[in-house]
Formats: sequence, C-alpha cells, structure tokens
Amino acid sequence: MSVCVKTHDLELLPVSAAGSRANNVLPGVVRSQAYLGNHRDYIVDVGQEVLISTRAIWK
Amino acid sequence: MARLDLDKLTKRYAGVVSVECDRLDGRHAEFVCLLGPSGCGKTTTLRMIAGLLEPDGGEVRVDGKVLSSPSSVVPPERRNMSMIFQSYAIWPHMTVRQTVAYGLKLKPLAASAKQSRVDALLDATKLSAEAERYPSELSGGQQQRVALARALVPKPDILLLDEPLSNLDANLRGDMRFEIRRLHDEFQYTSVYVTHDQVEAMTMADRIVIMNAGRIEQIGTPEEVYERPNSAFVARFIGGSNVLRVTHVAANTVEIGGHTLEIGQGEFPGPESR
Repeated sequence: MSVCVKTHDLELLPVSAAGSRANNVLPGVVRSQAYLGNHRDYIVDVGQEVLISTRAIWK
Repeated sequence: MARLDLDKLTKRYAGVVSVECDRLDGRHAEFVCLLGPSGCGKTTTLRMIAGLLEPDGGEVRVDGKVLSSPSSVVPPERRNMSMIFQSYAIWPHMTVRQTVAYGLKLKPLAASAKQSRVDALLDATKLSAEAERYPSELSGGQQQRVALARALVPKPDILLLDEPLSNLDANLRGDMRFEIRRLHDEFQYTSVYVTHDQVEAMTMADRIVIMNAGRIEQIGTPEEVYERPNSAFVARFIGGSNVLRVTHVAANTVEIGGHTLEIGQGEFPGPESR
C-alpha cells in the first residue's frame, strides 16, 4: 500500500536529536537541497526519496 | 455567464482513446481549470468545448442545450464562446484598438456603442494608453492583454483559455494570473482554463479538474484536491506530497524499511498503483 505525507508535515532532525523521539522517525540521508527564498527543499533518501520542505533560516 | 456540462465526452485518434471524460457538471460563472501533464487530453477537451473538434461520443451542453455530440455540432462562431491561445494570435498590422474592435465587427451594434464597449475593455485590461500602438511595440504581457480584451469585447458566455501564460516570464505570469481572475470576477463569464501548472490552477480556479491519460482523475476545489487527493497520481501531481510505499502492519500502523509509522485515517479510492 501507499501513504501520502505532505512535504511540510515532515521535519528534518539531526541524528542526535532524532534519538529522543520514540515514534514516527525514519533514518535518512540528505541527497540534495535547494534554497527557495522563504523555504528550503531537501531531497532525503529513506530507502525511497522523499521531499521535505522546511522554513528557510537566514544565518 | 453560462453553465457548461460535459457528459461522457470521448475523442479517439486512430482508434486510440485521447479523451474519455466521464462527467463534469458546470456552474454559472465558474472558473474551472483543466490541469494535467502534457498529452493528458486537456487541449483536446477544450477544443471539443469550442467546437473546433467533433467528439466521437458524449455531449457538450451549455445551459442544457447540446452543442456537440457525434450526431450534431454547433459551429464555433454560434456558441458565444471566445478562446485565447498561448501564442496570443493577434494581428501585426492592426493597432490595439483595431484588434479589440475586430471582435465586434459582425455585431449589429451602433458605431457609438461599439466605441464605448471597446473603450470599456481597453480600460478594464489597462490598455487605454497603448490603444494606438502595434503589437511589435508591446510587451508579451500587454499582447496577451490585447488578446483578452479582444476575446471579451463580444461578451462571451464562456471564455476558453489554452495555456495563455506559458510564454510569459515568471513575474509577469504571477501578475497575469490575478488579472485574468479579476476580469472573470468583473464580467462574470464562465472560464475554462487549460494548464499544466499546478500553481496557476491553485491560484485561479474555483474548481480544478485533474486529468491523466485522457480521463478525469478528480474534480474539486483547490483545497479539496490538495488536502484530500483521491489517487496517488493526484497527490503526486498537485505537489506538496510524498507518496511512500509501505507495508500495512496493523490498524493505523505501517512499516517502511524496518521502521514503524503511525498514520492517520483516509485512503485513496482510486487505483493505488497510478
């Protein structure tokens, strides 16, 4: 079967922070990212490629 | 304004189905976007609505009157529809005013009535200052506004738009989306807008008809197709979604790569593999 997950409902966490979350955490590798002004898109490999859209933070 | 209905509209080329629209029940003064990838049958559907193509099956109806069916087709010029194309299709030897006035050439109106109607449309499309210019002296956005004014001047019941913004740069496309929607709201005609651009459809449409391989996948408001896609195809095509292959473990639990996920309710009623 398939499940549908909105890109903005996904959260990207560093490995150190992910360990403290018990549920709904998948390990993955960031394959690419793009800065798009008010948000940043990440392509993450979790065995399948997923797109994660997060708010861009100006550093 | 008019109510446009499509009922089992079918077109085949060399026996291969190009379009097989089950049903679209229109509403008065509605802005409908036909959205889908290249080759999905959007333009073929639009051309059957315009009367430029004859259907092999089904009907196009406006306010209950059959305009197209395999047995009879009302010619395009008697449908009170206007059409706008990606390529603008405006004449290089005519000024903006002449081009817009051409839409009224065959209308039985007094010259003064034609003049005031042209002036009103030039004003509505913000072209009054360019009225005496030729197309070569206009930007792409202005040329598309000329095409819009010419299409609207005869007061069509239905405006058909075939990817009208595809030749414009991103900024101008953004401006023109609002312009096209503003004119629709001001003049209250029914619009059918073909696009492969999800943002265009989400920005302008009252309802979006998502097409795939000649068939209608889903019809709904922008919110409905985004929040409740009825197939994996729609979820992928409308954007903003990941469709992940998982193994069902228990009621609301699935497994992916050896990790379990808790998921919400809901399912795709359509074929899951698409």
